[in-house]
Amino acid sequence: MKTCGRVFFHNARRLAAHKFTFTEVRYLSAQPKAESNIEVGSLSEIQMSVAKHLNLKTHLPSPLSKQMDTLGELVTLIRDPMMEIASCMRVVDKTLPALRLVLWGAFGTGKTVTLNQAVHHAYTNNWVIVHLRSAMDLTRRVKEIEMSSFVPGRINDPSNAVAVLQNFKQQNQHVWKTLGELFTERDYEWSKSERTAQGKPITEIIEMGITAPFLASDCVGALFRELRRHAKDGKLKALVAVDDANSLWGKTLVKRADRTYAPPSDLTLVVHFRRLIANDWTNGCVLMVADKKEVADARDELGVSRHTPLELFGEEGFEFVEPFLPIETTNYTESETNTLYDYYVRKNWLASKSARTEEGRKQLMHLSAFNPYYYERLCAFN
Amino acid sequence: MHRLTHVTARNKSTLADKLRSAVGGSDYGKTKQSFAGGSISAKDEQGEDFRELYVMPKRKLRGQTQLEQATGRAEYKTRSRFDLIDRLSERPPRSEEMDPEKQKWSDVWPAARTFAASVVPLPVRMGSRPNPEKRAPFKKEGNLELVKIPNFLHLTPVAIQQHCEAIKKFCTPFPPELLANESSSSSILPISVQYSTYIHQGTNIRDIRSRVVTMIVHVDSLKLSDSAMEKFIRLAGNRYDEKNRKLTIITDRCHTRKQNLDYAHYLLTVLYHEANKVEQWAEMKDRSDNLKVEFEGSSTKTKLVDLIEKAKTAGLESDEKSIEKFGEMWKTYRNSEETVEATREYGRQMKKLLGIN
Amino acid sequence: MTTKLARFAQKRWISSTTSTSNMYDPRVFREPVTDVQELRKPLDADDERNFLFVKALKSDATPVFYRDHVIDKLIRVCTKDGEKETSRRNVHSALEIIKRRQYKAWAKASEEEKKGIELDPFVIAKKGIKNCHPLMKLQGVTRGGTTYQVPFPIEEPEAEFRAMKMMRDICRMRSKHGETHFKDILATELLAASQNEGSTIQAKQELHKTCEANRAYAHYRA
Repeated sequence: MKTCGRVFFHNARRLAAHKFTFTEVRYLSAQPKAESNIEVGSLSEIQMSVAKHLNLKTHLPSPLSKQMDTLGELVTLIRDPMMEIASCMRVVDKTLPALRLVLWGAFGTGKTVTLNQAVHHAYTNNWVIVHLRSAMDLTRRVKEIEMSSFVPGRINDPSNAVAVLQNFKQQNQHVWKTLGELFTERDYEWSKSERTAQGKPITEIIEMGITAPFLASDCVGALFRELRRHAKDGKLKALVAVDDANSLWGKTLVKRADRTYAPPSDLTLVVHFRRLIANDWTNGCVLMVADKKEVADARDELGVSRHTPLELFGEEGFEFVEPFLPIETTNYTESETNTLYDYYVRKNWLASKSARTEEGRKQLMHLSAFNPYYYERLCAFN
Repeated sequence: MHRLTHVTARNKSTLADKLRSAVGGSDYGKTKQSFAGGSISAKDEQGEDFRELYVMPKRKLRGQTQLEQATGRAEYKTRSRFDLIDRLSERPPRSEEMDPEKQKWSDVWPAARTFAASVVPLPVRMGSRPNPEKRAPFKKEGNLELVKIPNFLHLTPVAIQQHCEAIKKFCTPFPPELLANESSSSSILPISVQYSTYIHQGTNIRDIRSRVVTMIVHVDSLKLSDSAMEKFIRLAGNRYDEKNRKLTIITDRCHTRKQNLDYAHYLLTVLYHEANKVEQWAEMKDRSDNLKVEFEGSSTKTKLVDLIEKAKTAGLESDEKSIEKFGEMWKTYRNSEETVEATREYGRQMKKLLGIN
Repeated sequence: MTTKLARFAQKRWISSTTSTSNMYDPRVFREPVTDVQELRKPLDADDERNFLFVKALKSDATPVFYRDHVIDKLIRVCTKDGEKETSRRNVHSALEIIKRRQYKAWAKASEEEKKGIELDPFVIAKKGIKNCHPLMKLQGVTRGGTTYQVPFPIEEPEAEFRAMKMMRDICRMRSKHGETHFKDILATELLAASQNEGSTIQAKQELHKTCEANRAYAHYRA
């Protein structure tokens, strides 16, 4: 299950709740370079064509993508963490090493949704987007494995590698032309017959990987390498958004020949993503989500694991991602719930009469304990 | 002992008459005649005695008496108990005679002894019964439950005070310097030993718990070097409390308190000397073997310094001086349990460091 | 194995206690006040709750705004193995599914049609259950060693219960092999029943037919 919640915010903690009877929906995508137009606490719509382009249906938490399907639009609330990310993305520069941001917060407070908003923000600013739905997919949902021919001991994961490449291709159609004009640094010899010569456009690497799954893992590495190099040269700006990034240092379900579990550092894709997270390149921003599902055990009914970065990344992962900027996602404030409530009422989504009363508004707020996920769940059947 | 003081009750019984005459011989006929003379001639023509028809006893039946008493025609007769004098000759329980205002309790109950219902002037009740709602616990007289449990009736505050007063002349006053300055006690008296003595009523004066000795040592007073201190902490394990820098040794494996105390001292000595030893392999200690994660020389610091330098060239107003402050925060963050608030503080400091608004 | 056993015991399968005797002594415990409005008023002077204990509030009696008699009963009827929380999730998800379907239809519809589309899932569910109420029930009566299925009249609450039970059994039967989920089928069934269609309505009509056929036995009603 994806961590859920809609990300929302508020600009006027001190303003009375009832002033938000109508909140203007802003069209972010209509205004490129729109950082200054993002307003905390306002609802922003991501156009359906853009959402489809960015494949948000699979990247968003399932309740929200269902909501997108039902309402026929994707409206999210801009909240403080998103503002912080936007201000961090503004400082990204050719000389500055890739900024690393870690989104952390309790269950359902909107880590994933903020991540998706950031991806959309990068899209509006014409950045290159590397978006991973969940790093846990790379470590725990590995369907088929191959031993790497490039580095002995490494384990390739063709299906996930192809998925990464395809997703990259789909999400970067807006800069595809630019990517086509960037050339490879050196010869890549994938196998005896397949090779990509120096000076070919890097989109060719992607196409190569998609058509030949057994090469895809290496292609991902080459692609990331080229991206980093070009970002350093200032030819592109890149946003690396990795959901559940702490799973890159978690446990895996991949078995080696001797039936022991392989450590994540043996998985090719994990290694490639780690290299992307390392800030030895410039002109980019790495956005990670520290999620509890890596360490939480569903069968452990008594233990409560922490949701703080050090706990989730572990010593090794923490030292790797340091220095980073932790960005906390929190529960709603009262005015945020009001904004959302008004939106639901306006869209006629709150169907029952009792929910539309003042009493219903208050109860929704307090029954969900201001948690975005539970607020949405409660609104879903009322 | 029975005293037949009230045997006259059945004097009018005819059976008693017969008995009496049988014992008394010739007197019998006389009384009989005088008794029967009034009404009917005593003998018939055959010269036989008149045999009266028995209908009911001649005395009043109990029912009759009760009826008369109830209607007020007869008086209730009150009789004293047959053993009244016996009872009067016995002394009533002491607790009833006692005047708690004037009586000195410590004189009545000077030392530990089993509960005695007649002595304790308290309306104590104790015992379990099948239906607690209906019935109160059993009273103290003849209550074995009260006898079984230990009591501390000899240890009233007044009695204790009296004891203290009595042994005061053997005591010396507590050093006033230590009272005035509590922190100096750690340097002047670095070792404190705790043990407990148990008293209870019963035949055995020993208690298994009295052998346990707890020794608390202020580790600062051992004057260990840094490396020795680290070794000491590792050896002591969870006996060392990092917060107040105290070592607590609890010994209970020997039979007597003295042996245990000796053992605690022995342990302290061994710990001290072992900590001061430097083995060959100790030199191979790595950075990762440290007890604490250090900021100085960590990869984080080098990366951070590098980042700040680059951020400066990128035009951010990064604050170089606050890196020391950040280091302190980082050290506590890494070495203590992570909390939400600590992480927020981390974020704040990091922002300040990088100069992102 | 042990966990299975533990779960088995946890759900009180072997428990012999009846629902009438519970932990509350009827002499000293009284029902709690569940209505918020009433809770704000002071208790009557002669109310026994002034000096007696009050039972703990039941988890399905909390005064939330979506409290609804029919839905609560449906949740209780659908509960299996004492897992009421699961059942609640199922029924609420079914409501959500109903609402999503209706909302999609509503969004597509023209202005006049919009008025005819009910969006409130609670109203739809209630109407669906109401449509499934049977008018009679069949009960076995043994006469002369033969058991006859005799039609009996039923009261409103029992009719409601039988409607829910029919619906639940149908949904369970269909969702048996995990291909489709209980909530999906329940949503479909409720929606269909609200328009007097679907298998539950069919089952109801079948029941009516059998009752009609067995009306000759009606005199066996003792």
